[in-house]
Amino acid sequence: MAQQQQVPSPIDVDVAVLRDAIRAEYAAVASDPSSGFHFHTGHALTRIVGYHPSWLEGIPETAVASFAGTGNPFSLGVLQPGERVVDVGSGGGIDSLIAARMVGAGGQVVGVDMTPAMLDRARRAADEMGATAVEFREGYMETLPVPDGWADVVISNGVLNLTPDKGKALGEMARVLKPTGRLQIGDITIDKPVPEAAKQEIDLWTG
Amino acid sequence: MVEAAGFTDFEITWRAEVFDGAPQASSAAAFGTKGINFRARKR
Repeated sequence: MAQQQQVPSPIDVDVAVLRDAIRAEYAAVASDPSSGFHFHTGHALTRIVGYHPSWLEGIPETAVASFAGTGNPFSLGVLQPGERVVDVGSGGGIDSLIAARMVGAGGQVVGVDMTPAMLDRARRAADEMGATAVEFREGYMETLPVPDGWADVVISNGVLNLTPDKGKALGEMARVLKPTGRLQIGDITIDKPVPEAAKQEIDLWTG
Repeated sequence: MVEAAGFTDFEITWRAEVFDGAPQASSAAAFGTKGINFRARKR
């Protein structure tokens, strides 16, 4: 398990408590993805966010069923053979495995996630697929376990909204990218402001 | 915020209702939450 770190938060929320709640939520998704959450999952969600069916061919059900993103990073640009990709909050591995196939044997994909149950699921899916250009590392989006300037592309899907320090997470994404490297992100936006007091309610972050 | 983190050419390309009809009720509707795609390039 990744070491708990003191991450300064610009929002007054207990980061350790928040992370525990998020881990519990996504461990439940990893354990039983079809049990019904406040977000869509799996194949139904891939259709909502516009994943091309060809991207899913050969991707193990282990990874597809636990998909819980909010957008479509691949709609923002095709990954090229040989590229290095970091998938921030890789969950059950669907986006990392799609990326691994796009970049091919000459490329590399590193998926980072803080939920052990999701990492287990992603590694199992990679084994089922025989994907050798992808590895999954335990870590936090605010302290990515990736060297400076390593990646051509950073992708992420439905994860950035889960940190109270989005500036720090975005700074980490910039750090691991090469100069002119691409950021391709699915996430959420809100039309109505969240009251300051509500930002401290852990349940609102996870549901 | 994205540009302050070291990026340029920030662009939101897509917004959609991605929580509608989810199995459990959520706070998404109360805040007008939508799924988005955005891209940028490191400076």
